[in-house]
Amino acid sequence: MDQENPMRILAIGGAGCSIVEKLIEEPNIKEQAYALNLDARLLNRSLIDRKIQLGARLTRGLGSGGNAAIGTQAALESQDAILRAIKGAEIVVMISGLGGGTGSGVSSVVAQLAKEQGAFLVSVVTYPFLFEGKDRCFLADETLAELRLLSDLVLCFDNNLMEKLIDDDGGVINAFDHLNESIAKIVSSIPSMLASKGFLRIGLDDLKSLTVSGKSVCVVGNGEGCESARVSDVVEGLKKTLLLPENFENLVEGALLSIEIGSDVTVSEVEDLVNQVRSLLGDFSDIKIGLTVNAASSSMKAMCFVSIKLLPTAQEAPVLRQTTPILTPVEEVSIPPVQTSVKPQESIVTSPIVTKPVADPICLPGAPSNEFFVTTEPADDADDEIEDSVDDSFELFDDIAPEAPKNEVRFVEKRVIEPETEEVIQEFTSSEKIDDLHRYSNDSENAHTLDRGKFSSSRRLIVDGQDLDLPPALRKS
Amino acid sequence: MAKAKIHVGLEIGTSTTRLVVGEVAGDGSITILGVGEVPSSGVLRGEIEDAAAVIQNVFDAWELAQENADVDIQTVFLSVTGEHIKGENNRGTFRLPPDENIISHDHMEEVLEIARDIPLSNDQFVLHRVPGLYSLDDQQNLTNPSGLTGRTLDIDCHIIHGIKSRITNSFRCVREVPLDISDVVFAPIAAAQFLLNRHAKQAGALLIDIGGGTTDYVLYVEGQLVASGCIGLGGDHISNDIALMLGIPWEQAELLKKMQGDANGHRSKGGEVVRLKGTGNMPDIVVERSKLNEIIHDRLDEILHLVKSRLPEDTFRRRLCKAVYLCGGTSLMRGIGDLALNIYGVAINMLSDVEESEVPRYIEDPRYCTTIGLIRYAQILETELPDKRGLLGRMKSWFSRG
Repeated sequence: MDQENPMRILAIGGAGCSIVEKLIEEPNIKEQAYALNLDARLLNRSLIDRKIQLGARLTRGLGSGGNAAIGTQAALESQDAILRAIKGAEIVVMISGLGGGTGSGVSSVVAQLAKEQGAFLVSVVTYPFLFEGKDRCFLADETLAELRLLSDLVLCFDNNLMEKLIDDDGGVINAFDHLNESIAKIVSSIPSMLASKGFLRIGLDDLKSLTVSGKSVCVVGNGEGCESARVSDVVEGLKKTLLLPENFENLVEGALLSIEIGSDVTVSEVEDLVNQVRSLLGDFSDIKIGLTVNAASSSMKAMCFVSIKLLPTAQEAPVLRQTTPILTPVEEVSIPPVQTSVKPQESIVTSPIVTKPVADPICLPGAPSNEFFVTTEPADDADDEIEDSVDDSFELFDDIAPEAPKNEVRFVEKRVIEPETEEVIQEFTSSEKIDDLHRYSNDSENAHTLDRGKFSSSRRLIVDGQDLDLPPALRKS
Repeated sequence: MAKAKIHVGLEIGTSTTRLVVGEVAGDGSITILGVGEVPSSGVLRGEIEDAAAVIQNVFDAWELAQENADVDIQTVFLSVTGEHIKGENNRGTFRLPPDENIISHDHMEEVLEIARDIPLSNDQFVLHRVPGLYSLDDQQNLTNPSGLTGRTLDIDCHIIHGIKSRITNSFRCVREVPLDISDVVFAPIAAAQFLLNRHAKQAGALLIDIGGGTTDYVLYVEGQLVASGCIGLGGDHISNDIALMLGIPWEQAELLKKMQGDANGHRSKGGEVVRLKGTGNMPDIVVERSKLNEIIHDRLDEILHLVKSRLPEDTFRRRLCKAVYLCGGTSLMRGIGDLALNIYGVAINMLSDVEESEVPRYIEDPRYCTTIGLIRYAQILETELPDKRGLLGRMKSWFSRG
């Protein structure tokens, strides 16, 4: 990144520092990287030149002991130092390992500070191994939920899925080294991707638009190939490094493919690559493509960002491994053998409420006549006049992201009511059939798409990994 | 005898914006002169989301209250709430210098100063610092240890703080109207001034104010404030649950809740059906009563358990708290008393059980607790702090009251 567009890399806690240490040899990184830790001993050993010791008064140089509250308090104590580090930065890349006291406790504070400064915030986090225990996974989920709201982009690397990258024979040290290296490689190539002036350019706005709903995290992979088999090499590389969870196909929210090609790469090769990536992502159609030409080489490099929708439930730890839908129909409806002339179709609203950030309302198949729309304006459409007078103390994160365009989508909620006749309701007087009248039909729905009703546009209220805005009965099941 | 004074309490609630004008007579009794209330908009979970809407609401309530009470209102006591507001206890300890062993007022102030000083980040705003009772060496609960002999003096201080920018938002909205703010009070603290008398606080009392968007609570043990806070769940969530679980519009869910709901999920007979007429072309809504009640029960049960989990451990097992006081609009829900009794296992006081005072009508309504409490708070503040204004200032205030 050049001077006009300064970047800061904040390595938080032990995990963050060891990843950034792999990066430190890259050009320009050294001046931009800061190590943040509570543990003075680890901090001193770190290769990163710029160090910030957090909570020197609170813990006197000891670590957080796995306690996120201590991490948070330490970060608050040292917030002036953190602010000095990120002052004037346009992009803040925050790298941390979730689940630990420092990683989880400090990250949310740093994220908030960075956002207050108006920086474009990229959070790079690793998700703990399952064997590290349920508590750590809970903590990681909670922090992840917070970061997703605060960050413009969350890159999540699930350690559990990274097992496939590890050589089985190598020792533990090698394995971690390898993981850190692959994360470092990806992180270091982001700034060069953004800085390059290709003819299909990718900017911060494109990255931000990947996670527009605030409900998803990104996974990222890269691949490289040269000579004749370059396309298949690149796809192989992507396949290996892209840490997609199982059954991800319906959860893909956006994808971005940045390709750097040599001068002799043909159009058909690029087309081939894009098609292969598309089928890799379960035929996801809406892939954004960036193309830059590096005339000096004949190789082909690609980096792929995939944003995946998640619901913050610690019950289902780890998050990325949600394989089964959380929700089952509240009432299992068994339609009795026909006793009446009434057709066994639900009579009152049983359709799921569809909330999608699309310009056109989506019609359910066979949408009947009775329907109504609830249109929710994005929050920043508030009256300008008032905003002028009260803006500076208003909620911090509404309108800061510098480059990203204003969120132009309108959220259109649509409820569809099945056609209904008066006789039908008259027929249903005995209690046995009431269940048929009312059930929350979410059979094929995942919890991710579940509507939170009146609270769907508000900040989530998460306690112990549960989204309290959802009805308790739905969460229990 | 002191002259009668007029105080105004303003609450910008999630469902209602409410302004209550009260006259505090020389003998301390409060008469409600008038009330202005309008349904709120732009408030979610007790926090302001749309400033323009809130300003308009406060303005409307202000106009209404002025009309009803027939007074000019210029300053108000404002109650705030929101999940960001937290209560923390901080213990200050002061060890007397070796050559002294009698506690003096200076020592008491010193230890209080230590207890009041709690490290907070810059974005926090301290709403209240409530000092508790002193303890001297092992001697607990001393109101005034001055003159006693001892070595170590301790005091607990309960500090209530919230995020500055969000509290400032409320300030700004009120000032835009334009109204002056005399003081800002955390909502359940205000309600406690009204609902809990000294004996109740001494015996140990938990006040839970379940409003539309938030549930606020304060716990007094042995006369001291030991816990307070806010949970971002309230009556709106019940309606939302009903709307989501039954797949009906929110407004109708709200109606169902108010007209037919019962928090005691098991009370209804099986098979009984509730029917609500559909609006417009919508079909009638038919729900099994037990199902509706179960939804309400689940949510309220969760809220009350959440409150319990936020309190110091063993509050109820060690019988530190002898009674629970419920107020706020959601406390009007049928069956909530039984539900709370099951959870807390102590006496549950709803507003109709609370001691009578001379305030007509409104005092029996749990929705007015916070605003009436604000007036009580103003009154207490006034008796504690003598009028420091000069003659001119006082003359000004005569005119301002019209």
